[in-house]
Amino acid sequence: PPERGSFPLDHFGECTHVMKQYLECIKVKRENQEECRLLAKKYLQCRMDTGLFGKDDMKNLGFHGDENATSTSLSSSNDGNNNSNSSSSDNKTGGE
Amino acid sequence: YNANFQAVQNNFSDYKNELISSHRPEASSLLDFLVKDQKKSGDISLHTKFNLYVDDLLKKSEKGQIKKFINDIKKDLATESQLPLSAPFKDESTRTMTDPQVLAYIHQSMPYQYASLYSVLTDLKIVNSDVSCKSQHILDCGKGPGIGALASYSVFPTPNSVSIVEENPFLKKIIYDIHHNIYPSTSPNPTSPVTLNRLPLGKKDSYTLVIASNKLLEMKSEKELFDYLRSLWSLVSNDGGLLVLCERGTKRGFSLIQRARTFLLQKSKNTSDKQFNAHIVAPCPHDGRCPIDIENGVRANICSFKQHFFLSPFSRLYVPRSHRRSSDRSHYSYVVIQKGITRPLNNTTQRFKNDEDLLENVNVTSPTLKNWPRIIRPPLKRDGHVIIDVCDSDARLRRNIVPKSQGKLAYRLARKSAWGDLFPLEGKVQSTSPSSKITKHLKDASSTYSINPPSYNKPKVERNTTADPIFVGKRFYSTNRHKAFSRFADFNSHRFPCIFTSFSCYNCISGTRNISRQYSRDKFHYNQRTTIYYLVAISIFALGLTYAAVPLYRLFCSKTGYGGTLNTDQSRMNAERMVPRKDNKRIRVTFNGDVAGNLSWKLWPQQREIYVLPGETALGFYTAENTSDHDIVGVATYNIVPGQAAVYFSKVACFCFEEQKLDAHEKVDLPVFFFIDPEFADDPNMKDIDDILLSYTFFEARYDTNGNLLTKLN
Repeated sequence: PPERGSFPLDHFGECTHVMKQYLECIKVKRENQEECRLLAKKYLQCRMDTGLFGKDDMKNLGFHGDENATSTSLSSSNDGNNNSNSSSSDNKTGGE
Repeated sequence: YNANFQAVQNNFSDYKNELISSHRPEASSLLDFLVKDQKKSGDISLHTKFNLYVDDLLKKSEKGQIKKFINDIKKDLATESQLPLSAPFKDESTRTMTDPQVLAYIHQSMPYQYASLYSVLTDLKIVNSDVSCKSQHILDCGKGPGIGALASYSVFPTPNSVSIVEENPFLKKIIYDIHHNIYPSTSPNPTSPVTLNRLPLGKKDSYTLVIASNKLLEMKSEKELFDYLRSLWSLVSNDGGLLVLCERGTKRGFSLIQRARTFLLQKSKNTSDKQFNAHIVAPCPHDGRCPIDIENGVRANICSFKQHFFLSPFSRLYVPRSHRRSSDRSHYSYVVIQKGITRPLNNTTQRFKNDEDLLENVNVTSPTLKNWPRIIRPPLKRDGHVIIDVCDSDARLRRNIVPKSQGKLAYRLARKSAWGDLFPLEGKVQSTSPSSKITKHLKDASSTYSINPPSYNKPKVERNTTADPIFVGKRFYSTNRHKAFSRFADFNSHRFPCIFTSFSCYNCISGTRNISRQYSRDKFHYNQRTTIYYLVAISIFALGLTYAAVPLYRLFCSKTGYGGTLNTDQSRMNAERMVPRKDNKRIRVTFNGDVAGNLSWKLWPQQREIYVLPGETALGFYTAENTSDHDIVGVATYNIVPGQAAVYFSKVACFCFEEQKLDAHEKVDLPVFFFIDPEFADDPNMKDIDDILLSYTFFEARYDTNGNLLTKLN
């Protein structure tokens, strides 16, 4: 079995709205772009918050903190993809 | 010639007829002689009347006593073979034997002696064919009930008179009963046979054939031996009379024969009277010193012969069932000495080298046969060649090697040759025993045998000649080849345990040979054992491996992800690995969902595909819906296509392998969180892989009465 085992079933659809955002993003971008990854991160966070996924550092899930700054801003609104794009790239350059 | 030769190949008898028709009758007689006439049959058995008579006697007598004496005789024979030559040993004379002892002796010894003597007399007849033409006056002074006379009846059917020397009254009675029944009716003198108490010393020079078998071993001292030989010799007719001495084919027996031979030759040399001239008729083709050095040799270094024969019915009595045999081989040493006639000159002896000689020089006449070399060891018939050891007319041992290339006829004769035959053919390769050994032997002789005065006739061998250098190289005659030779000898002794195959080398290494043989035998056994151990170990290991194969294969697959099994190695899923490889192309991950037939669920992916970089984590979603009216528990498995990419497809979390319970008509989202290992980008095998298919299948989970999951997957 995978490292963190199975996702428990989300019987009440608590995180379904984040999933839908993510799927929308995937459909539009067709690639696993940064903004979609942010939504993925948000989904996992949602799962952790509702107790449907073991709490863990996002680093161990492949999110290396460069998205953290934009994650809060993005979590409030669906749009602003461009911003996040630019900001993440900024962050990366700054990080280096 | 060529035409004739072709015919030989096709049919020997055809060839013979052709020769006869081409006015060369002698040719056929030579070949006939070599291939047919001198061959002895193994179909030898004592006369039926004798068998019945002895059988009757044995059954009448006391069983326990006879058995005891039989065992005594066997013990004696065993000790004789073990004792060294220097140790005193002698056979018991019949003079002192009791009746059951005599019977035991007849039981044990007669069939053997008869076969030996029969064979010796046949040899004699072959070499000296005029023997049967002359009037026969036979004197048998051998041990036992006139067994020499019995044998002579079969070989020479018309004896003029037969006398048997025997002292023991019981044996005398037996002789009288048997011989008067068996004595050939063709004999002109019906008053024979006569039984005498002791040697008829008054009748000097009157017997044409004097047979003394197994008598020499009775002699207590050398003086007695020589006295006995002297009196025997005086009885032999000086007009070509023959003295036959025959002993057991043991070292001691041969040594006695050798001494008697030397003594008698010496005696005739010392007297100038031509009437007492002695020469050897058989088996030696020469009157020189015997080239066999018994003192220096080991067990088999003697001149002896074997004769196959059928045992008598009475031989089965008092013998354990497991030891009963119908036939056996009699092992004997013998010498036949003729008196009053000189040996034909050596230069008249013919030698044959190739087929042409064999066809041209044909003159099988009795006198020259005496000078023909005799085969003194069983010929070694090998692949494409035959090794034949002969005692030659120049008093030397000679090894002939007759290969196929020497000629078809010569090779054929060699293949047909047998131990004890006369063999006039010279091998293509010949090697002679080094004469230095013989001279050394001569030097020692005066000390070894007191019976050899130093003035003993010098052998005709030129002392300083050495063996042909070619053969020295080839046949291991030089002493620095001990090792190679002892290996060679050992090799042969495995196949022919009782014979020594390479006589002349024996002298040089006789000391080391036993040791080296012992050593190589030990080593052979050691190697054999080691091999067996290895084989057993390997087979046990292999058996164990078959049991361990399934768990080992599972372990191997889960470690490496071989064959589409998902990689579940925890060490590969740490934060450091989840770094996207931006330089690589994106890989399309396609999703697929299926439900096993009996499960009333629906499963479909919410996105068709995601393009991901190696090392980049990604989320995928499936939706599952329970279409039935009751709760159902399902278990999912997944697979990756292509299989080799599964090694790199790592899942962080998913809905697989655990039972998922869906209520009636419930619909849930099932996320999959995965990443492709960044090493994917470095693997040249993965260069052409752009698509990976992730496929999920749901099965219904069933439980037994105890609540355990039945559908164990993976």
